[in-house]
Amino acid sequence: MSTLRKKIVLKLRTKFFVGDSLIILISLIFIVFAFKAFWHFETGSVVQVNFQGNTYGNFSLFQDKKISLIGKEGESIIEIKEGRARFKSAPCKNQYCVQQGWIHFTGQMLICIPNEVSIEILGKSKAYDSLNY
Amino acid sequence: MHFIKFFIIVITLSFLQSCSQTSLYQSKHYVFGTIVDISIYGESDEKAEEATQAVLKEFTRLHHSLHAWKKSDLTDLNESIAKNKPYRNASAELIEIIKEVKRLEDASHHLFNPAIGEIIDYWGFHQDEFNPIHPDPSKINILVKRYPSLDQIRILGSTISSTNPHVKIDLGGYAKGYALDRASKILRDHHIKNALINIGGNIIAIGQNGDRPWRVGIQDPRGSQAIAKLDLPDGWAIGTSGDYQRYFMIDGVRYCHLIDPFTGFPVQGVYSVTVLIEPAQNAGALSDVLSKPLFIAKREDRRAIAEKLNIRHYLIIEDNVISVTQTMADIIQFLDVHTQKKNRLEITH
Repeated sequence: MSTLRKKIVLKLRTKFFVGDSLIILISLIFIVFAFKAFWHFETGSVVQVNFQGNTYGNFSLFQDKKISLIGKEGESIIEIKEGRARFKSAPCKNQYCVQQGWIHFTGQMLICIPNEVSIEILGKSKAYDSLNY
Repeated sequence: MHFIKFFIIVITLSFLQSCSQTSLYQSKHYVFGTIVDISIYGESDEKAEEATQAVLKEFTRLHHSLHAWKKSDLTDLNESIAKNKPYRNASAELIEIIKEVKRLEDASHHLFNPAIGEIIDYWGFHQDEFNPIHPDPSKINILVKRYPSLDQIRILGSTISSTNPHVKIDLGGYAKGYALDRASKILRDHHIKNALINIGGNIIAIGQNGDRPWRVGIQDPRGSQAIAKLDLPDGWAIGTSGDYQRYFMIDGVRYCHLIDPFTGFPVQGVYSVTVLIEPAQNAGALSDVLSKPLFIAKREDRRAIAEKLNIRHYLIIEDNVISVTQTMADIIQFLDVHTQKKNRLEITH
């Protein structure tokens, strides 16, 4: 190490005062703030299945799985594949839940009212608390 | 050295805060022929559970008194009307409701008309799961020309009668909103200060979700996700009428459950109408009712109707056009940047 650098290091060590501390403090606060504000997972990683008013279970979206639920109307089949979920089949006549296709974003929800099944994508950040439809 | 200790404490605390447990109680139930979603913030689970059960009990009661096609006080009343008989010993609540919807029918120039149960029946929407039909215009015309209206209802004490036996009352455009107001009152009576109640898409807010307002998404009428979001302040309510909620397709034509009482046909071309209602005793009911006249009104009449009914914040989605009032535009936030590019945005008022 050159003598010049040694001098600078020494200088830094001796002149570490309130002003420097404040700058470091502010920077650190900013980093924490930025971390919290921008660290989002927009696509969800878990699908929550609700059956007859109760949570039937939370399932990872990163698996291939079929869930069969026998409700008042018959069998609803939920399919999980490639990070997405959908109603593969439903016993009801109007088939709205099946027609809506795949969901994968946090907060997306499919509901089958006749058979009392709903699925919702959960994630760290939810864009909203409830959906108006 | 003290500073470094101080930094570490500050940083640790700020991370701790983000991990702290929020007490949010959430429950989903199937009552009222739809899904009811209640969120309560800042209360013990037991207290939240107790209040929720009280609300659900109330919904079951309303289901049995106001249902349009399963035996209820309302179907009994409709039966009496059809037989030209007076309906006696009506509950004070039912009488109040009928007076209120009659007032709203008149104010909306009969665009919101809860007396057209026969027409809704014809289209098959008076069933949990309905069958597509091929409409017969002459039959529909006969039903329309019977001119059912709540103006033909007479109330004397606790007796309700009608001068037109073809009045068939359907509170499908009112009951869910009324239930929101009831739920709001019950939760407040249980000293719940922060809650969000969603009945089949109609939502009312009480207080807020911790340190921020309750946040609500608005469904994209042609997608499976929300198109926009907004903060719903204390006491505000939001309601949407959409052609995607109850509908059938036949020969490539979409027939939705929102029927124009003047033509007897479902409205076509409008995807959805969302109204935002400021705090009021009946904010929930208004959030349910007031989207209907806007949905049914002709494009050029919307402004006058909105003014007449004092609807200050609305959002209408049609094919490639989104119309919003200025105040609504200030409140909502579109979730997908492409939404504004793909659609023409019209600011009204």
